[in-house]
Amino acid sequence: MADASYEIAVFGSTPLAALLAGLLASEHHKRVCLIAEAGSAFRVPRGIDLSVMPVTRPETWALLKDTTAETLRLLAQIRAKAGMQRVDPIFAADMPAGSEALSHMRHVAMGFGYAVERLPSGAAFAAGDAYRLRDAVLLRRAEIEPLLAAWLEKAGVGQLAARDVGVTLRRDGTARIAYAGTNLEAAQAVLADDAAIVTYLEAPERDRTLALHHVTALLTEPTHSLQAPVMIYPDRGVTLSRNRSGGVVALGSGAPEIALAQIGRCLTGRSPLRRAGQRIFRTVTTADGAPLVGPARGIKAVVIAGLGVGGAFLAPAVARLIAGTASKKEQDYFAAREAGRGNARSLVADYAGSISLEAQV
Amino acid sequence: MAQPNRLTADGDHRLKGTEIDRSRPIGFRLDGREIQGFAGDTLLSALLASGITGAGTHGEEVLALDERFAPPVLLRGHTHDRLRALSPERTPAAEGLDLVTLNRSQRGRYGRAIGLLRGIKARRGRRLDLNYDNDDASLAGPWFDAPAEQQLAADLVVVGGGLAGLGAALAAGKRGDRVVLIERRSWLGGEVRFYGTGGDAESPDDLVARLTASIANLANITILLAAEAFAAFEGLVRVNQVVLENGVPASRGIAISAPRIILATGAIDRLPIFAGNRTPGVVSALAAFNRADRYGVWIGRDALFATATNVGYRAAMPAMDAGIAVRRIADTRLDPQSRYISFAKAYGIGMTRSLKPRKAMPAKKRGGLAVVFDHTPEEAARPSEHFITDQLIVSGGSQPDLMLWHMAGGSSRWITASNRLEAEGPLPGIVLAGGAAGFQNAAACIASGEAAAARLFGRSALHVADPQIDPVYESPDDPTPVGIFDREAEVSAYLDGGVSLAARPRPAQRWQRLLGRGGGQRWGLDEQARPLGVADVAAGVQLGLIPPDDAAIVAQERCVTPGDIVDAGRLPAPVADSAGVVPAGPPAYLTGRFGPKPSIWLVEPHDGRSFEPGCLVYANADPADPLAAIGVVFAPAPEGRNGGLAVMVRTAAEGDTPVVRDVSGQNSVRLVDPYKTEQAAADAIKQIAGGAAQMGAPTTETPVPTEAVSEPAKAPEEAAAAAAPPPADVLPPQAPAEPTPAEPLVAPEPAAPPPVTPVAGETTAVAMSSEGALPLPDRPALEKKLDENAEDPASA
Repeated sequence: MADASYEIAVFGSTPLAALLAGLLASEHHKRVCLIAEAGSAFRVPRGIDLSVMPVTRPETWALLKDTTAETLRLLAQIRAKAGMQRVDPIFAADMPAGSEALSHMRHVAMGFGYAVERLPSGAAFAAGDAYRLRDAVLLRRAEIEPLLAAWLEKAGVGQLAARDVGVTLRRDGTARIAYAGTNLEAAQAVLADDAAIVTYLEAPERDRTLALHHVTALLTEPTHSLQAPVMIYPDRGVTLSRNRSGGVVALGSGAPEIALAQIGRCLTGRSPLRRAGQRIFRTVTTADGAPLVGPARGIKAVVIAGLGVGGAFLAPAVARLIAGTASKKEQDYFAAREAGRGNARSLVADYAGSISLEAQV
Repeated sequence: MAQPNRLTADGDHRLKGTEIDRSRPIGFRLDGREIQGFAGDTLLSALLASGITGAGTHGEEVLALDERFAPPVLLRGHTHDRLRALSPERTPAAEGLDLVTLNRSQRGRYGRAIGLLRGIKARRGRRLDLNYDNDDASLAGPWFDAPAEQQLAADLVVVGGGLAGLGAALAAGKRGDRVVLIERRSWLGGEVRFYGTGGDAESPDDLVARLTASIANLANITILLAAEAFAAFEGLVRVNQVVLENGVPASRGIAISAPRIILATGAIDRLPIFAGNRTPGVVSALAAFNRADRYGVWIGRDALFATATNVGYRAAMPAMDAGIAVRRIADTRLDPQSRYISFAKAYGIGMTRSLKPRKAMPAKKRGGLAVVFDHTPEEAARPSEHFITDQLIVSGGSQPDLMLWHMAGGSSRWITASNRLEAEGPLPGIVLAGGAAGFQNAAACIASGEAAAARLFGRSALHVADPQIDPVYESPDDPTPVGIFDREAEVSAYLDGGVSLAARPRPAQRWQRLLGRGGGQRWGLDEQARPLGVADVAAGVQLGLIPPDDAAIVAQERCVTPGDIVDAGRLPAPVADSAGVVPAGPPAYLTGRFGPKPSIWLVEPHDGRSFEPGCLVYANADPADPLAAIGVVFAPAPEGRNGGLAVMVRTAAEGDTPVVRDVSGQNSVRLVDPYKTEQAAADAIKQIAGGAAQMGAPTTETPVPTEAVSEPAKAPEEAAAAAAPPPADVLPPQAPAEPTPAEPLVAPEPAAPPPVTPVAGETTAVAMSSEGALPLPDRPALEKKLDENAEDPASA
């Protein structure tokens, strides 16, 4: 077996991927490299990172509560406070099933000590019920990424630009990374975000639970305030967040024309609302709404998908899982959400809103 | 004097205004202000000639009114319809027009009051009464959202009426192809009068006259002047044209379908980056020349030139001929050589080398500009130089205008050697020509247009040579100058002269760096409020804000036409059940929560309340951890009863008194009526569904298994004895025996024009439709589709 240049190669451009790489290096003493695309400071954002999610499973909330505290301590240690913002997001439903799911979410979240208030019915921005969660944390990607990059460098994580490398994933989960005329080896590949899964896995290699679909990301010109700094519409497949310039970052799932219309529904009353940027990309989510962590089909690269907007805050637990030091609770949690479990995943399914029902690309 | 910035027609000089007729003075009103001009003026040239050089304020500073930054205007009678707004640069001035600036017309009562006060102040000054900070923020033409009133079809569309566009149109037209040529100005020929034709070639005027005469002889070529193409993708170009209807300008939307498109959009004049680079009085060399040449407009009576290029000297000599005092030409280069420099020397114009502007501020007492220059690093020891001038003419090089190319899905690449983004790769049915493709000399531009047309029609095309004069005789241009950051400057250094208003960030102060705070003004493109121009991206690379390798993808994502996102007239779809059916039991996300074979119970409180879905059931009052819950309410109680239906652990028994936690706290309940038979459960759920059906949700029959089940208990002792497992149908779904492979759903064919070439698995542009709104090609069909999704998303 060839000497591995790295023990773990993490592929991904999100804060989750960066945190994972950094934790594996600094806390689990692995030799790690991170292969990532250009930072958010230049691009229209592909997602958000929020410490609460519209999920119903109590074990997810339990894990998230613990790991969020860990993640916030870590970010404070690396002086990343400037990249964090306290927000009170709103989750809004359109359909009875969505209202019901959010009601379930509410009671579970309250059971774990989160403050969740149901907004008065008849709110103009949602056809169903809406809930405001208090005191969540939103990561500002453009601000936090340079801070994470500095931390990764200090932790000895090799950072490679995705455009500069050629990658070969092998069936045994190892990876060869061609970079600057040399070949680097990694003993374990970890595909830590949707873009990496789409880029590096062919369709037959993706778990059948994974649904591939388009996301349209829009940046708007300054507009009137949203009802909350972050608004998530699971039934519409839309996430809105307000940026510092007063514009809105809108993410809509599905075929572009559908996504744009859904985004427009969420922003009704603000016309004309002009775009300042746009990108359309493919992403993967799990059709059953539950996270998926485990080997790909036929390839032992670790796939991390379906963690939702809270993925970055689950990074400590995912890092322990990969490093082999996960607690019993964490092992049980992720074991139930492994790839290849077929219909046994129904035992951990969550409300997926519009995602599970969209056309696949 | 009504037109203080109009050059006299007297004397032997060329800057008399080729477009205007001084024998026909005209007057119009804008925001209540009287503006004088001549027939042939545009609204913009008349405003500038009348001394109005400011477009409004951004923060505390006044921004220059110019060809790339002029607020849309409306006829006063059309203020209710913003889609009829006009571009001041493309709209001919006409006698008696009564116009208002677009954003002013839309202010509310409070805004109007504030505006009135601002207007009084503004009318005394030289600027329009607009503020670009908040609700006046959108500077893009509202005509982007207007539907196309006219549909044209052609074999070839040529965007740009410069030499390359003329060459392309003529080449195709001579072969009998139907051509539509679009030019945003009222004249053809592009910038040839500024750049010249070089050597012993025919003069610019003769060249343009020859080409346009040839075109005029071809009936199969349609020319649209005062027409701006604002969107392009494969097979379609969207245009806004200003036309005269009974002598009154009107805005018209046009959609042109053509299988072939040539983008001969030229190059953008780069703005040197220094504090105050958009202060009124700072003008690009190209704009200053065109204003003077076409309209006889020149701000003030003296001028200072700051250039990094040879053509930056171009306007100095004609200006001196017209009586303008050219104080100095400051060149960033150490020892530049050029025929233009020789001409300037012959005119006796003072020239200084290795000098670049640091800031330009209004010279408040004297009027005009106070400009500070620094010496470039090669001569850094020399002290700064200060000047006062009416107009600062700047020349910072050029950037091919790739806006439509990117919009159509084209790729580009940052070229370090030339400090600009250049197009890369093919695009089906779309080709660049002329300056947009990087050609420079006049003959090459024409040939590139001809070659572009040949290529699109599948004909052989000769290689186009673009010979340049030896650098010994014509020094290469410097990169766009970037001035030293001036902490004391109270004005911004903008990245470019367009509508983005993106400005250079302030670096961290020393005390911030010492304290390890990094700090400074954080500048991320994600926080830039408006779409960017290609030149903004180029400036961002030069300033180190954008990695060169990312410039292309940033341009694709951020250089967009800002069409209206919101379908304001569409109401949210009516509430409907997600699957078109009322579930036969608890939702899927409750599967496995309470064991493999949970039970369903009616939980009844003592106080007559009802529980909402999600309320957790606990064995007693002690635990509050959701993981310790033994059940959860998932549906209202049937038959109008209190409490709710709950899925519970299998060991739950009738008579148990668990606790339900809702928002008010703990509630003791009793378990009543377990659903021992399918019929009972089905009836209960039907009743619930019946209530939902009255609200409009479709329902279906709950399937009832055929297996024999126990009769409902008639007495407590019999109930205990006859208890049977709850029927399978009302339990949360269990894993079926056979795995069910996921069938991939077939993606619907997108109705919108095809997406752009993916970059690393991404597409970055969405094309516009022929109907205006972005990008909803067929609203009724789309609304039907959205409603279907709401009712039965499985059909998506």
